[in-house]
Amino acid sequence: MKHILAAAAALQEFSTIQLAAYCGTDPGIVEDLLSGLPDLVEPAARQCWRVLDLAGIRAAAASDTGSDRSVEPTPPPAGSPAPITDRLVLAEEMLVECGHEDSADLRRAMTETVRNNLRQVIARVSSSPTPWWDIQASQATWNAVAAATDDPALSASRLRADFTLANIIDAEAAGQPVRAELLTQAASDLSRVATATAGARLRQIFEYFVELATILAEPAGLTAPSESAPARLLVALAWHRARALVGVDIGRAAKTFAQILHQLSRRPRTLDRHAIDLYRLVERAPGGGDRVVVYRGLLDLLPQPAHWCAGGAFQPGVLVEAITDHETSSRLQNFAWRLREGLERSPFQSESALIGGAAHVLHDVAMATAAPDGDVLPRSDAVRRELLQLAGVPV
Amino acid sequence: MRTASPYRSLEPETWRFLMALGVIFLALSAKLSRLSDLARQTNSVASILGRLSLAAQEISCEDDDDAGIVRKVVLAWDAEIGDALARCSLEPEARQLLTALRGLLGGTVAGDPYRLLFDRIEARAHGIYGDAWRPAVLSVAHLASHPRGPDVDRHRDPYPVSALTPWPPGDSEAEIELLVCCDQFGPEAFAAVPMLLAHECVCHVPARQDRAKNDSPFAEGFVDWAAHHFLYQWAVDLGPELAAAARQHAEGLKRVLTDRVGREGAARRRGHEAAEVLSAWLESDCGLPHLECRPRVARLAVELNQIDQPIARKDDFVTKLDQPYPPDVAEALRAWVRGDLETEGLFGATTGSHVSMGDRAGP
Repeated sequence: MKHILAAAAALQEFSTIQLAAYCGTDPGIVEDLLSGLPDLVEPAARQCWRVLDLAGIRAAAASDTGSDRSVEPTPPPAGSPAPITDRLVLAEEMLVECGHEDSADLRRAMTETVRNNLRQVIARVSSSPTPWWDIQASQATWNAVAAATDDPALSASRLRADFTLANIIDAEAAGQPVRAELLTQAASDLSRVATATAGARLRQIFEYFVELATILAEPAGLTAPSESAPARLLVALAWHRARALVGVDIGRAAKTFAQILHQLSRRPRTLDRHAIDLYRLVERAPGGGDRVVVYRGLLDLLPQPAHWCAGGAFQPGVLVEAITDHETSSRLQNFAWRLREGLERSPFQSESALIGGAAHVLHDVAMATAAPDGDVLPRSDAVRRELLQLAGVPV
Repeated sequence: MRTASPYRSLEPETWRFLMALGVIFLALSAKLSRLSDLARQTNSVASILGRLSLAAQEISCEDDDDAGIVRKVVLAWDAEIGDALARCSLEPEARQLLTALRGLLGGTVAGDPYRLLFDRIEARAHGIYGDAWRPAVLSVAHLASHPRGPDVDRHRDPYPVSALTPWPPGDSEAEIELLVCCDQFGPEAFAAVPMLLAHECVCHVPARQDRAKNDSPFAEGFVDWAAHHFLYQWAVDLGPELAAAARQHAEGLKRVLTDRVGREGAARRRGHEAAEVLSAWLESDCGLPHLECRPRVARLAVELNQIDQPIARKDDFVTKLDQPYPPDVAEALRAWVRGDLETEGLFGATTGSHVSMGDRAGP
């Protein structure tokens, strides 16, 4: 009897069949029992019962020592507490799901769930005295996590990357501007995480972040439609190359992306070493040799033997530093001028149009400089094919 | 004359194979747990079980009706058991078991054992959900390989069975698909079928949500906890003998599913933990009697399952059930326990959702 009464107390209003189902007993037994307790329960509408005296029901259950067919079986054993990493897995899976959720309201709700899961992870990892719901994404928090564990699966970078991404998704869903610092911070953290750990989920998170960052870069002031066509071409190429790397080497892709965002965030309005252009003379050494930063594709147009050597990769595959003689430097400047002219003349200014336009101009330049070097055309063809593929043009 | 398969997705021979094994396992209910335990420990019993499967496979191709097939399989297996008992080298425990099995085999009756289990479980789930219940039908289909992969360790995971409820449900009814891999379908797998059906009936058939989600801490964890709670009560409906095996293998299946790496395992563990912690909190914080706490949590799971809200919001609710509870969550739960707040109000207060009474199907 006691577990029928306990279930009755739990339900408070119920049908006979319902209470019998809660107890796994016969409805007839339930009916008989309840009919004999007029002070504790009363019939309600539609063959239902209502508890009249909750304390009385509980007392009756506590005092029942009888054993019958419906003796409460041993309940299922409780499982072990879920490991900390479960909350991290759930948080990150939900981040990925945000990328497929059309409803902005739901994305906001999901990001709150992500942050709560992450707060619970942080609370456990760092043994924080702060209640988990009050944990903030502050430097003190990340310092505490870093000090508490060296497990790369629970690193401060990873937790901060996830938290920042949740904040970005939340702001985007709310129609609020996303600060450039958030994008660059997330990119840096993801780059560190991608280097330390790998996996399908991280790849999916990174792909979603790339998608968001390219959409949000302009509102965050990292890019602008009023930028020159060459600058927009180079940024587009950088985005595309980073995305293409994701399926090949997530660590490199993340590092490249972080580099792009940092460079964009440092974009000045005045000429200097970091300005984005197809060709820039950085310094002219008195004894000879020009240090230039140049679009990589222009180097392939140089007739052989070309007099240049590589410096650093400024934006790998897009902007590289080269050390050349004056003549080569002038050629590169000329190529850059012709490419710029071609881009600015085009009436089509979409990203794909810029990239496709660049492919055609480079081909024209290559044709013009084909002699005496017969290898220029094949080299420029390779560049042109790559550009057209990036633009989504079947080759 | 051959009887047709009652399930459109199941070939007649496969149906007869599964039917024969199922009715035999039903007849052996009293010894099902012992049979599965000893089969894991001794080669002789494992071998005898293998012979049953072989006999059923062979005979299911014959031209006969269900009753005839069952009769022949029983006879064939009885002969195999007889041969085993004649061997002097047979272990004493195996001898005792096989002798008992021989006695029980005579009670084998042809029929649809899966439909029998389904009807019992479905009736109870219908009772739990009342007017919010969605009619359900059973279909049985064959799986080409173990549901958790062909490389699964069969000793750790002797359950080549699964079930699902396709989403969205039909206009008039939901369909529960019981999926069976015939390869190594043994007494453990049969004993786990009630738990699979209970999970589908409690967690998915009557669920009101926007989509299906295999890694939902709410649907696959919190409500699954309630399904386990209920199965432990309902097992007695299956017959006192089968009840013990059904509970044992409900636990075995739960261990397999919660041990999984990845998001589905994480969701199940997290949801179960939330339910267990809530049950303990109801006793320690609200002073509820111990016996009342688990039915309370089960009731909460059932009522939340009926609220027509996105599954993401229900997962959000479960996420917040982490000790210590935030003050607003604790206060809302206490109000719910006191009866000052309906379940819809508890859900709304905890998740910030706008929920009205009309959002819950039910009486």
